[in-house]
This record gives sequence, C-alpha cells and structure tokens, in this order.
Amino acid sequence: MGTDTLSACPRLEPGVTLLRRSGETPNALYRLVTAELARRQGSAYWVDSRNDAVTHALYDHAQSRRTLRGLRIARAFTAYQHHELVSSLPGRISSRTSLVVVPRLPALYRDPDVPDGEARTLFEASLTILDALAESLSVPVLVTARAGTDDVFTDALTDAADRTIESHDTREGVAFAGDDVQTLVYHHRDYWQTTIPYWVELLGVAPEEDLAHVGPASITTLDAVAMEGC
Amino acid sequence: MGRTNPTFRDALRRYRESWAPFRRALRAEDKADFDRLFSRASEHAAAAGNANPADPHRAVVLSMLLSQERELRRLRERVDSTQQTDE
Amino acid sequence: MFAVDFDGDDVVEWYLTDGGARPRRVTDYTPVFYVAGPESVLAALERRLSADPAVAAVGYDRLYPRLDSRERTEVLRVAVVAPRGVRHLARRLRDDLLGRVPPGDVRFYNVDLSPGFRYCVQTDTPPIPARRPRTLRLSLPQKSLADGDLSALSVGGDPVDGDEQECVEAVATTLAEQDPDVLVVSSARLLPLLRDRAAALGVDCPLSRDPERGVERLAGENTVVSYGTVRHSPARYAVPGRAIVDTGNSFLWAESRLDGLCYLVERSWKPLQEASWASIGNVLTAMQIREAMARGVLVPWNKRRPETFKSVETLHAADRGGFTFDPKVGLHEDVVELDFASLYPRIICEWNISPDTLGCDCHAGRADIPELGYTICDHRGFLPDVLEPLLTDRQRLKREIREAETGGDESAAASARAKSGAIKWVLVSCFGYQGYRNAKFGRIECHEAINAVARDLLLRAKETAEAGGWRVVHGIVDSLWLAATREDPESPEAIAATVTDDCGIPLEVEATYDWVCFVPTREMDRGALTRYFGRTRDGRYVYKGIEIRQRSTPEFVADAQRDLIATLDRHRDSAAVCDRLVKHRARLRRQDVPTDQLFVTSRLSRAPDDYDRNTLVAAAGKRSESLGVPREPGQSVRYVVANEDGRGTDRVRLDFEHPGVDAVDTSYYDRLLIRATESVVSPLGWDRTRIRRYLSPGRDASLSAFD
Repeated sequence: MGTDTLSACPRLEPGVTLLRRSGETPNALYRLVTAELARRQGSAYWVDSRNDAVTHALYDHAQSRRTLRGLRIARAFTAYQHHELVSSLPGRISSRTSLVVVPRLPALYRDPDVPDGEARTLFEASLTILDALAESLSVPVLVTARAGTDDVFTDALTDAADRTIESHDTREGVAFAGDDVQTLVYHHRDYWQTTIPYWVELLGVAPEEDLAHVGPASITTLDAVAMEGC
Repeated sequence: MGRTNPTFRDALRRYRESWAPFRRALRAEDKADFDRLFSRASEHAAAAGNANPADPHRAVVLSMLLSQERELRRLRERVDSTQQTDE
Repeated sequence: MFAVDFDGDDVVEWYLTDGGARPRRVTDYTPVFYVAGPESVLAALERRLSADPAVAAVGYDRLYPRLDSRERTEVLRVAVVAPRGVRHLARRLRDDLLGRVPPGDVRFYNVDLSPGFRYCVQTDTPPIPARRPRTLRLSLPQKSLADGDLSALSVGGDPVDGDEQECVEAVATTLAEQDPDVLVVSSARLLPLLRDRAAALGVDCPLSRDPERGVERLAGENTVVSYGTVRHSPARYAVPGRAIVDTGNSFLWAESRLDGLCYLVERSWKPLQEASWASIGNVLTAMQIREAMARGVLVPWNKRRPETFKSVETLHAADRGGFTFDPKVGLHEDVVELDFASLYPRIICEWNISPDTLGCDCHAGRADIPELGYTICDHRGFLPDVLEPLLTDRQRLKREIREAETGGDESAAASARAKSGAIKWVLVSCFGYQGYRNAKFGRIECHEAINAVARDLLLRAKETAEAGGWRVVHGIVDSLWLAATREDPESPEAIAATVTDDCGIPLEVEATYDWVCFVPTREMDRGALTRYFGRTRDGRYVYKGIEIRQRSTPEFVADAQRDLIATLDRHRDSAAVCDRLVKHRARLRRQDVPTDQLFVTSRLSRAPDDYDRNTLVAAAGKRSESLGVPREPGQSVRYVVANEDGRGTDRVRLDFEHPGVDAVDTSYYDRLLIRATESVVSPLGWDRTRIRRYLSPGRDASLSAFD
C-alpha cells in the first residue's frame, strides 16, 4: 500500500531510540523502519527475536521494494544466538550504515533456558555494544520493548535509550507519542484518517472550540492530505 | 524456529476482512457473489503460496480471475455440447 | 557391555553372560570437558584448576570448535574426578567467570552429555549387549500405586493371586529364577515401593544385581516443556546391573519395544537405561555427538551459532514450509498414492545438506538449492554421514520384513518391524530437529534448503504424473494422490520409476485405493489436509486424522465409525450410513454399551487447578486428585462423561472408580457419534445439520424399531 507515511512517522535520529509498543501487532515497528529506510541510503541491519521480521509485513509497509534493498535480517532464537549476532555488528557497521533495528531486545534473555545471572550479563553486554555503536558511529539504533513488561531488562533499556517513543494501535492505525512526536495523520491501509489536532492545524480552529462537527470522521482518499504529507 | 511469514491463506483472510465494510453494504444477493469470489480465490491458495509474491493482493486477484476463466471454460463447454445436441 | 553404573568415583560395567551378568569395576575413569577462550584466560584457568580437588587433570588439546572450522584450536581439557561431576563443575566455572570476562569470550564444550553415554564415547566402549536382554514386566494399577498397595501387582503379565506379602515373594522368586536384565515397570515409583515393602515385610527381594547396593534415585520428578508441549518427567531410578524401562514414560519403548530400543543403543551408544527415557531428539543428538567427536569437533554446551544475515528477498523466499495441494473434497474412485520414501533425510543425503556444507566459501557463487540459490560444498557433510547408515539399515530391514513375512517367520518380522519403526522415528525427527532452536548442530538454513528442494521435487513429480495421464486429487509434502484423466494412463509404477530417475530419490507406489474420501474441515469450506479414509485394492481400510485415529476417542465411537465406513463402502450413500447410525445410537440409549468402551483418554496440558475453563479434562484431573491419585501436566486421565452439563468433578467418573452403565451421559456420547458420522458423510456433502434432519423423528420410521 504505497501511500506516503513519512510525515506521520517520527524520524529516527542517531543514538538509541526505544520504541515501547502496546497492542498486539508490530505495525509501529514496520512503519518506523520502512519510513526511515526510505529517507536514508546505505545498508541497514535487523537482529530479530520472536519472529518479528515478517517479510510480508515489511513489503506491505514499504513504499517500494527498493526501500528494503539495503536491509539485512538475521533471526535469533536463543539469548546466546542473539548476543552472538549483536556482537557481530561492530564488524559489519560503518558510519554509512543507515539503521540498526533490534526488536524485542530483552525477549530471549528472559527465556527460562538461560540461567538468570548469565542472561543478565549477556543482555548488558548486548546493550553496551548497541549503545557504543550508536554513539561512536552516529547511527540510529531502534530497539523495542513491549509496554507493560517492566523488569530489570526494560529498566536498563529505558536508562540506556537516548529517547523513547510510545506507540499504540488505534482503530485507525498506529499512533506515536514521544518527546517531540505526536501523530497527526494516521496511516491506514487505503485511505487517510485525520485526528482533531490535524484539523486544528489545517483550519486554524482553536482547540477549545467545539470540534464535534469535524472529527474524527473518516474521509476516504483524502489525496490533498496525503500529498501534503510528502 | 523459523516460519515467520503467515501463509497465503492468512493473507487472503485478512484481505477479505479488510473489505468487510464493503461487504456489509452489499445487498444480500450480491453478498453471495462476494463470498463466492473469495472462496474461489482460496481454491488456488496452494499455487499462490508457491508463487510466494511479495504483495499477496495481486495473487488474490489473479486467483479470482483464474476461477472465472475456469467457469467460462465450463460454460463454453456446456454451450458447445448444447449446440451439438441441437444440431 | 550392557550397562554402566556409578559407585562413588568408580564406574561399574556390566556384561551379559549366558547365565546372567558379571560386573567389572573401573577405578581410573575421569570424564573430560573442554574450555575455549583467550590464551591468558585459559592459562589462568589452568593454574586454578590444577589445584582444584574436583579436578583430576588439566591439559591442552587441539580440536575443531565448529563443524565447518578449517583449523583446529587449542582448548583446555579438564578431567573431572567424579564420573558424574562434569555439569556441576562447568556450571561453577561459568558462574565464576561471569562479569570477569566478556560473555561469549569463554566457551564450554562437551558438557551436557548423559553420564553413561559419556563413558561409552570417551572410553570407546560400545554399550552393546552380547545377547538379547531378558525382560520382566512388573505392573500395578495407578490407583493402587497412589495408595501404596502392592496386592494388585502383576508379575510377567500375570496378576499375583494373594496379599502384599505373596506379591513381594512372587517378585523375589521370579527375579531369582529368571535373573532378568531389564525391569519393565508400569511406573518407576514401583521400585522404591517394592524395596520398602520388602524391607517392612522382611522378604529378601534384591532388585539390584549388586548385593551391596540397591535402588538409586537419580532425579526427582519435574515438568518440562519440550517442542511446545508439556511433559511430565517422573522421578528416575537406577538399579545396578539392570536397566529400568518405565513404560508410561518411555516414548521409544512405546513405539519400538526392546528390539527397536536395542537398535538405537547400537547406533547412538546411549546405554539401554539412558535410551529408554530419552526422547527421539535426544537419541538423534547422541548420534550427532558421536559423529562430531569422531571428526574431532567440539560439542557446544549452548547453541550460539546464529542465522547469517540475509536480504529481505532471500528471507522471504526461504521462510516457507513444504508444498501442499488442497485435497479435492469428496469420494474418489481408483486413486493411486505415490510417496517419496524418507524424503527429508534422503534430500539431506542426496543434496549433501549439512551445517558444515551449506554456504561454503570454496564453491561460492554456485546455486545448488532451487529458489534460494544457496551453495553446497562438495565435501561430504556431517549430517549425511549421520543419516546415511540409518537409511541403508531401514532399506535392509524393510526387505527383511518382507522376507520374514513371506517365510512365515513372525518373530523375525516383528523384530525387524520394531527396528525399522525406531529408525523411522529418528528419520522423521531429523528434519524438524534442524530447525529446533536448541539443537546443538542445527542450522536454520539447512531447514530452509531441505524445504526448498522438497517443494521442487513434489512439483516435478506432479508434472510427470500429469504428463502420464493423471491428475492430482491431493498432495502433501512427500505424497501425491492421483486419479486417471484418460483411459490408458501410464502405469503408476512407470510414473514412479521416471520420477525416481529424474529426482534421485525413490518415489514408491504406497497404495492403490478402490476409493478414498477426503474430508472437509469442520467449517466445510475446504479439504482438511490430513483427514481422509478409504479402502485399498487389497481390501484394507486406511484411516487418517479422523476420530478412529484420535487417542481421545472412546472405543465405542471408533468401532461405530469403522462400521459406518464399511457401510459407506457397500452403499456409497449418506442416507445408508445414517440408517446404520441408528443402530449404534439405539445401543447407546439402551445402555447396552459396556463402560470400558466409553472411556475418554485425555492428556492434561497443565495442572488440574490451572485450567481457566472448566473443561472435562480439568474436571477429570481434579476428580482424580480428590480421590487420591494426583495427576501431573503431561499425564493422561481416563474417564467416562457422567453429566456433561453438571458441575465440577461430578461431570466425570474415572476408570479406577469402575463406573456402571447407568452413570453415563448418553447425550454426550450421542453427540460424539454424530460427529464421527459427520466425518464419514461430509465428503459427500452432508453436515451434522443434514444428519440430524434426516434422523429426526417422523422422517425415519426405523428409529422407533430400534428403541
């Protein structure tokens, strides 16, 4: 669904960005990643856990297949493999690397088949590597953790992250909120749906006024809005 | 481990669901046609799965067209045989 | 050697003799594991370990760290004093190093091998008995075991007629007379019970062959999750000089009995005792470890090797399973089934697919795997070396079965069948195991490559069949069901031969059906992949995936379904099948069905109290507990449904309560009958609504005749 999503999607700056997502689907992740890849040149790396790297979903969210050309994915199924993959990143990445994606960073380290002490050490080492990469090479590193799963791992992640974006699934698509991010236009499969803040901005309506008559009605194929967003 | 991707059948189901508002607004007699369209598309799920397209929606449409083509052939054969009996 | 057990720091080997068994004590065995890491760390470790009282010796070896390593690496060899002490010491070292060296810098190898298996592979002692082991069966009903009551004990299959004293004496006499090598027990907990009761009653009943040592408890019971299913792992006991088989908890015993188990012992070098409680994956891993050690390759403790980075395009192409056609729902006459025999292991061997051959540098750029373009090295791979002997043996055994059957030698045929069955299980698992996340030598790219080749082969077979005048009515991964499209199609044997030549993997005519029915899903919207039944040309009925084949189905319902299928065979008509159903329903309503034919067998997927919904299984589990027979997740319960709509534990009656026919909820079983009937007639377009309508009073006068 090749409509533009860039404007609605926060940019990923160099440094570690933590995406905390609520809801079942990783749609926020796909949107952030595909939007960022569309803006940047160069190779990108994705260290996967728990099968978030669904190629159908990536193709679905990408503007074109070219967007994904530079992306390389490897899946880990144990904490040891995950750490092994993260440890291999410094040998692959340069300052020309556009993006590093590590979804559900803590997930495998929580598995019961790794002893607690070892899991903690492996996790901290992985996080240190990612943090150092982001800083020394000025590469954006996107990590995710599910909202509502707070433990020592997510605490460490929150501390290490340079910024945090929160996302939640709404009936109209994915909404983001963060330090300087607010979703104005929701991406939705084949049409655009606006939220009240968008109308406020577009029409100059003061937020205090009664807005019942404008939103949040669904307006099919609002081309003008989509174009505006490019 | 592995098997990250959903099957074509899942994609078909989700695609169908995404058109639920469309279906809802159809008249009862048209709904039956709508449903047949999708159930026929699913007859080619195995072939579509083997093609494994990046964008499954085209495979959905192609599957629907293929079913129509088959239906056309059957009807053509029936017309032919009726004509032969008439002669 | 037959068995190995451990006495302090000594090892006792047991050899079977004509009369019984003789022990040999070994006092100088020290199990070895390895540590790899930076030189300085190893040197420090060497110094520390030389002074460690748990360590017998430290030194250096040169071995390959991975299957595909080109060069050997210097690793620290640690010999441990206690024959079963490796894991303990390795854990201590690992925890000790945490935080002092970066994780991943220091790696442990050859750590988690079971003690008996380790002894055999390290000392090069095959655990293969000189003669066929003698078995003795001891069984006790679950309820009696829970009550600690031995008076219902069976010895050698025969119930002992008498009280506990006489039962224990019967065991003692039989042990003395027969001197069995393997105790086949209904539950391992029977052993400590026997020991304690014998002591209390003052009966001399030595279960062990060593007068100095008795029953030893190796591990407590626990619940484990393996391959996503909950399994209850009971306490394990060892008896010096004998092997214990806990029939309720030995997959291999259940599937392949003594001959199959002995075959796997020979191939894996896991002693009979350890093989009996091993899973298939565990036996397969043992075979791989033997091969790895023979190649001078270290066995990783934790699997670290990850997937290689791939493009989205490659991942998209690779991340798929086998190919399946959807079955054409309905009754098809004159259908031929063609199967690729042992497809996945043969692909591994023919294509040389292995963690050490896939994606090699030496043949880079060559696309050996269809669709994915993966390169495979010409150098003979590790996985084919493990599997080839199994494939060869299986082929030989199949021939032996045929010869024995023709020659009328039923015991030879049974033995060959048991061995062949054991191999089948290993071969079936070897592919899935490549994708299993903790498989020591698994690699996901191998899994993907095998799938890609399999898809290509099935489509090639389809094309050949179609050119030969056949159409595909169903196809699934390694099998095709074909019906002729013209009067004179090529013979199925000729099609099979052409495909075999073309693919290099034998395609065989598995069955010729007079008719076969492919059953739709419960929603009736399409064909279910693995639900079908039919009758072969030689008059044999085949049932797959329908109620008859489901473990939980009560015998009465399974028998009725068999009868209904025979009816369908005679009349090819749904109405005739439903008429026949009337007879079974009437029997049920007359309470003419003995309750032992109505037992439902279900496996508990969690502890009875942990079920969210009040299912029948949960009710049965709770009832069992309240009656003093606790059930663990993974264990089964057998019950009749007494009142499906009732409350709590009153909904069911358990087998050991010996419920009478008047306790049975007839309407529950009636519904099972209708469901089973639906599976039989749904290929012809009848669903349960249609069945009920047909059977409704007034429509069918014959109903009253049976009431």
